[in-house]
Amino acid sequence: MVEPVFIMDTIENSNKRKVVSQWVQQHGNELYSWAFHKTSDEATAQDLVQETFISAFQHFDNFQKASAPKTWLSSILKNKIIDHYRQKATTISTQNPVNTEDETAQWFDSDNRWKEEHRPEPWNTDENLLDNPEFETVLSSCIGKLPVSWSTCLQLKYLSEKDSAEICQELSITASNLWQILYRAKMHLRYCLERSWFKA
Amino acid sequence: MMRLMNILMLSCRKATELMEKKLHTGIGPLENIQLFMHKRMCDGCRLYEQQSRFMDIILRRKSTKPENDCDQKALPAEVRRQIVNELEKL
Repeated sequence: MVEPVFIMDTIENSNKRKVVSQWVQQHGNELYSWAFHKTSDEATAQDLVQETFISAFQHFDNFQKASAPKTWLSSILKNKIIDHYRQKATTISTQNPVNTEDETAQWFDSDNRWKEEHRPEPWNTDENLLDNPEFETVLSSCIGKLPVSWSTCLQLKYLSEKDSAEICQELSITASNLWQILYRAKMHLRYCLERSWFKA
Repeated sequence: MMRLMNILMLSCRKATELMEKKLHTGIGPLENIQLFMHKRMCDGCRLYEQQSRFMDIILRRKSTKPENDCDQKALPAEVRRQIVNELEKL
């Protein structure tokens, strides 16, 4: 004789499963596209999406019926992405410590004035650069040239301000402040953009 | 007078560092004046500040791109099947 409570529970679970499986079909592509955009890696993005749906099933009771499933799923995925970066940060900082030398110091002369080669030159940003896919490619390639720990910080900063401060501190060995890491990252990025786009 | 000038003068390296620090933790009143004075005299640092702001805009836009604005990628069918299978096990 099966307990009635157990049967109720099973029915409920199968309903949840049905709903979440439907979400996989309805929202799978969008979530996957977003995860890929954030992580630039197909396998990672697929894992994160899978974890998102599993988590949605496990925490189904937290889902407010009034809110859109997509919004709820996106917020779970966002947390998964932040966790992913946090794990990555730990791995990077133990396996591959950040270069202690601040090479941007070499871009200034002995009086700490810009060296000619590095002095900023005017950029032509009038045209609608932000919608230009070629510029987007150059930007991605310049970000890709940064040390992994810096680009992780840079991308994380705009994803979640609070987590980025915490994670980037774990990442950094010499520069103890987030702004110092971002300063160095932006100096490199600026130079790269100037040479590969604005003066190219 | 020379002493006053020395106090007010910043190097380009220090000025660009302060610009970044200002955005995150804020800077003191003296540092603010020093930065202001430096930018009035230094074309390179004035451009640096503009470009730094521009980079903030493009980076923010790149990072916060809403889900439905990303290039659409299809979640492969076998991954969908795998997820549904995983759900069955729970």
